[in-house]
Formats: sequence, structure tokens, C-alpha cells
Amino acid sequence: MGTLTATLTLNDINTFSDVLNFSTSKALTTTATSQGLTTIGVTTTGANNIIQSATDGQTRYVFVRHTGTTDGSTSTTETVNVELTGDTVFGKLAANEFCFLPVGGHSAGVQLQSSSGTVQCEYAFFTKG
Amino acid sequence: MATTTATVSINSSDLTDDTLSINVSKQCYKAGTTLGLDQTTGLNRLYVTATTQFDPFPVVKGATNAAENGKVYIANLSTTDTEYITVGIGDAVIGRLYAGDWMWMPWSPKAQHVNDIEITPSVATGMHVEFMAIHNFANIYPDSADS
Repeated sequence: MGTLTATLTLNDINTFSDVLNFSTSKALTTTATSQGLTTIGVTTTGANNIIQSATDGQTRYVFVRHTGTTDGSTSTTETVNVELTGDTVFGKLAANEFCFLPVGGHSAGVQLQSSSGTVQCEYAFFTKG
Repeated sequence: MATTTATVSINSSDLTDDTLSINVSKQCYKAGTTLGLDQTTGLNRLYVTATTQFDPFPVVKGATNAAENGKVYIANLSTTDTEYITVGIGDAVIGRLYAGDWMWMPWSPKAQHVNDIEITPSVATGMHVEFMAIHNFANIYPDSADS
């Protein structure tokens, strides 16, 4: 269906004694279904904020970003949990943080849950081909 | 100020009719602050030859770090397309990293065995796995058993 090039770069010149500076990149072959970059107002009930439905075991590459706002303009410091459906938390994003990871090999989907109020997030996912 | 900056780029010219170009960058801060994370496991590379599940990062002794804000990088360096590692947290499987795949995610460990990150190779014929955590967790290394 298409090829994604996903790149992670980590850089730090002064926290540790050794400079951290590396980049890793992978061309990912994808197939249907994909979800382009989408915004969602994440609330405090994860089951109401399912961003990727349950799978039949496929691997999906999932990107999630906390926009640091409640609505695209009003700042917030509330965090957002990234969860498997069924309320299994596996990560917590603070304002402007993001994650990119494969989800799959099981039937669970992915949902988001704010610590309080509404937090606007961006997400996208792509199915491994 | 000392900070680690993480950048993720996701690009595609043929996925849809519209070119995809996501490019995000963020400093890695301690939870609720603008202070950079100041501890790291360093970049580790392992050659694993068993399908036994293992914990790539030190196991939390019991002190809670649930409010902290670590970051984790894991990559499968295999070049055989069918080989993968399953990454989980606690008893939950997150997903599979196939050959060359990597992941970047937040991690807030709680207590030992509750949400340890776990890796399970799909084959015992040997593959390289790379991983690193950047964090500010307290007391995560096990006590020495030496007398």
C-alpha cells in the first residue's frame, strides 16, 4: 500500500559524560488500514477515546502526541495515559510529548485517557504490511 | 540547561494521495518540570539466543516511580524479516518489533513485576536487540545479594 520512513533522533551534548547523538531509521511497508494524522479531545474515560480499534493480531505502528492544549489554543499541563483497551496503561505523555511504537500480536486496541479535563492529542496509525 | 532532545519523523510519499510528513521534537523533562532527565542506562546492545522473556531495564525494587517520566528506546536489529521481539509491560503485550523496527515511548515504573518492560525474542537462533532508558528514577537497581 505504501512505505513509511520512520526516524528517531536522540541528541544531548551536556547531560552525560558522553555525547548522545544517534539516529535510527526504518522503511516500514504498510497495508490497509491506515489512519492519517487526526486530532482528538481526550477525556478522563479511556473507553470513550479509542483511537485504534481491536485487531486480529496485526501489528500497527501508532503515533500519539500530546498537543499541550485542551483545544488547540488553551494550554494544559494535564497528562494523558496511553492504554490498551481494557484500561491497561503502558505510558504517560506530558505536554508536547509523543510516542511511536508497534501495537499488536493481540486483539486489544489503543485508547487515551486524560488525568483531568480535556487534552487535545494527535494520533495516527499504520498497519504493517 | 542539560536536556535530551528526541525527534520523531514519519514520512511517506505513496501512502495516500497526500504526502505524509510528521516531524515532532521535544526535550525530555522530569515530570512537571523543565529540568532535563539526568540518568540513563546507556545504549545497550544484546545478542539474545533464547526465546526466554527478559527485563532489559533494572527492576524496580518497590519504591514507586509512577509519577516520574522516563523514556524508553528499543530496537530489533535483526535483518531477517520474520524475526521479531515481543515487547510487553507487566503482563500486557504491547506489540512486536520486527527486523529493524524501533519504538520510543514513555515509561513510569511503579513496583517490581507490576510494569517492568519485558522483551521476548521470537527465535533462539540469535538476534541483536538494542535498548536505552533516559530517566530520573530512584533506587531502581536490585540490592546486592552478596554477603
